[in-house]
Amino acid sequence: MEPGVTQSSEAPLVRAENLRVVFDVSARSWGGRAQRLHAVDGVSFDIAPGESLAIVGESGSGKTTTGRALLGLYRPSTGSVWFDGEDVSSLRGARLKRFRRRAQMIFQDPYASLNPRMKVGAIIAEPLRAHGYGSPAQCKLRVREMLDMVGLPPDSADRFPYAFSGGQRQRIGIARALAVGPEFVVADEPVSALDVSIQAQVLNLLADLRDELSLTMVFIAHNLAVVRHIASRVAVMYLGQLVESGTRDEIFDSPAHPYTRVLLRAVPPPDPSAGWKGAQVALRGDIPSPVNPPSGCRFHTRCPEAMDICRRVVPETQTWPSGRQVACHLAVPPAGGGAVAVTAARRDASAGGS
Amino acid sequence: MNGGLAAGGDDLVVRDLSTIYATSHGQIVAVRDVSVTVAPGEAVGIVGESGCGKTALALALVGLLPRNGRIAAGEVMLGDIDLASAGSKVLRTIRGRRIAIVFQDSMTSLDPVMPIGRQITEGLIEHLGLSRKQARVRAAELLTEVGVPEAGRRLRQFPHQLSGGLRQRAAIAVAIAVNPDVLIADEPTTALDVTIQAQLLDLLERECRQRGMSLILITHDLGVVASVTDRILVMYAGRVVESGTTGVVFADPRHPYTVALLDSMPRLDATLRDRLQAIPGTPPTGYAELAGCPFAPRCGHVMDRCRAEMPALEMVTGGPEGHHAACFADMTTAPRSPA
Repeated sequence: MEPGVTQSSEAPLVRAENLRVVFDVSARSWGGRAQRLHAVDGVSFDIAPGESLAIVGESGSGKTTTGRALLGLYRPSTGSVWFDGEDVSSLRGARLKRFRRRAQMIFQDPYASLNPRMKVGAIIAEPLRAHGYGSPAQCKLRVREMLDMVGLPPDSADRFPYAFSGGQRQRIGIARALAVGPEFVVADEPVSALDVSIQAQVLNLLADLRDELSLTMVFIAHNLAVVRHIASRVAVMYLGQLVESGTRDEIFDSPAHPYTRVLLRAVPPPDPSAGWKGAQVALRGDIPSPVNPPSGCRFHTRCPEAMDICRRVVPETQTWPSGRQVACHLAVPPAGGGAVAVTAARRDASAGGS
Repeated sequence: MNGGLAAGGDDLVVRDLSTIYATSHGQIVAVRDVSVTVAPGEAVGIVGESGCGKTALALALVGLLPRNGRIAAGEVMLGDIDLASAGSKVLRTIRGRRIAIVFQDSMTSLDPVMPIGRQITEGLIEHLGLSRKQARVRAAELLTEVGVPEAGRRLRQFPHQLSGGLRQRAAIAVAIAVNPDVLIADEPTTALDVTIQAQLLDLLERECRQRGMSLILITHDLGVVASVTDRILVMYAGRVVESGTTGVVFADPRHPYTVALLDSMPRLDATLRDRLQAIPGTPPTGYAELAGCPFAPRCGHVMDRCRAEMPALEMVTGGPEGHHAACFADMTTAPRSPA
């Protein structure tokens, strides 16, 4: 099966191939029966070098699990993650260590992700020491360089995290992730804990560093307005599956999946004359439990456009000529396009379970 | 016991309110000379970054300041009762009954060791004199009304058994159960998905309109207040720096801070810019007594006068009635960053 297509002819740096991550959530001690939670359920995509892929969706869509699986922090239950031609779950010893240097993570919560009892200098130097960067003096120099890179004063190294605001803490997290010179960075909701005004600072910083250091990035978010400023491609996830992916302009200018349209409508514009109303978002309730996903199209229970077929039949993933992918019975490829490839990327949810 | 009792109640009138927090580093004036009137049924937004005094203001209104905080001056009138000087006994009869508050973290609003149902019925029995059985029925109705499915089962559950979105709905149900005159919502949607945020904003707006309840909505996100509120107050360093009807303030902002907040927003409804216009630096901590305008160090329109003198909150020249700003610069002629 053909993983998600990128526009680039270059070999992908990162590839997810029919990725599944299943968690055992049985409450055995309470005599409960075996239950499996399909956090990621058959996801495929490529990320070309230098590309910024945004993965968007609500809490429970599997976006964070996908991001962590890309870094080898969760083992795929089936399927695989490839990094620069190597299967990440096969890496051991020196090769695994090398991968960990090349692929890094920026965390969501700048309050929880920094050790409150370590000075900022030591926090940023920790990955350097772990990867044998050099002498203590060299590490110290690198810490200074990193602080400067993220726009913090040099004396920050001698202070503790509590002395910094949320935005400054996120800069520290970025400095820590980039200290070892990674090529690939997964940023998991890096600005969602910050004030809007500070979000702009951190987004600009991330975009600058990405361009300066030619980083390949995965940017995980639930707010599409934030993604628009940083992603070159967007993948939309719902209940563990990709429902739509495409270039930034495709997704924002002509969203093809009803869920993408819901996510776009959900962002309230800072403009009272726009007449935005929460009710128009037309999305009912919470995301269902991934332990027992709905039949047919998983989105049908909340979809404002659901038809009868959506309840019964799992929509196939269409790949349009531009490389864009959509999994919806209602999606119609743009007129004049060539043949539409249909991949049977989505199997019945129960196939991976039992 | 169905709705509408409190409608047509009293204005909430806040006059020159200041609060002071004592800390180990000295005193912080968290709220400074804030005045605002909220009419019955009106929705007022309070906007600003973290540390601007929004939450301190909310806590002062309901008499929930932490032990190191106190109201230093001003009054909070609800009808003929001054909440700022009222004792804890009086406050207890008002809080929950006439003014209710919902926090960002629904785990803070709700009691973690009490079933959802009892948290709702408690107020119904205590304040409205319903029997246990009546209260139980009403609680289930309320949960359904705020969009919690399977209300009967949820009544028996504890807060941690609900998702963040459902928990915030339950917290809103607890708050509105006894038809308070005023509902204060402090960043009620900040920790939630945008989809759930949209549902909750719709819910807040609908409930307040139906019940004739006033809403004070506190947020750092201008998108959130734009569609829900009638008027907004922009706060910076504990002061109101701009206020007016929501439409006018968004269309014709006169304080550089309001302009900067608007420009810093990533938006879907404007052409894509290369860079977001970030506001440099962070809000002042409140320890230092500033001589001039507190926004001066971060302001793109700063003049010498701003560093020496504090601009007062005054009627905007040429603006509609009720539009106030505290700035020396003339923002009508000042260049705005491209939209």
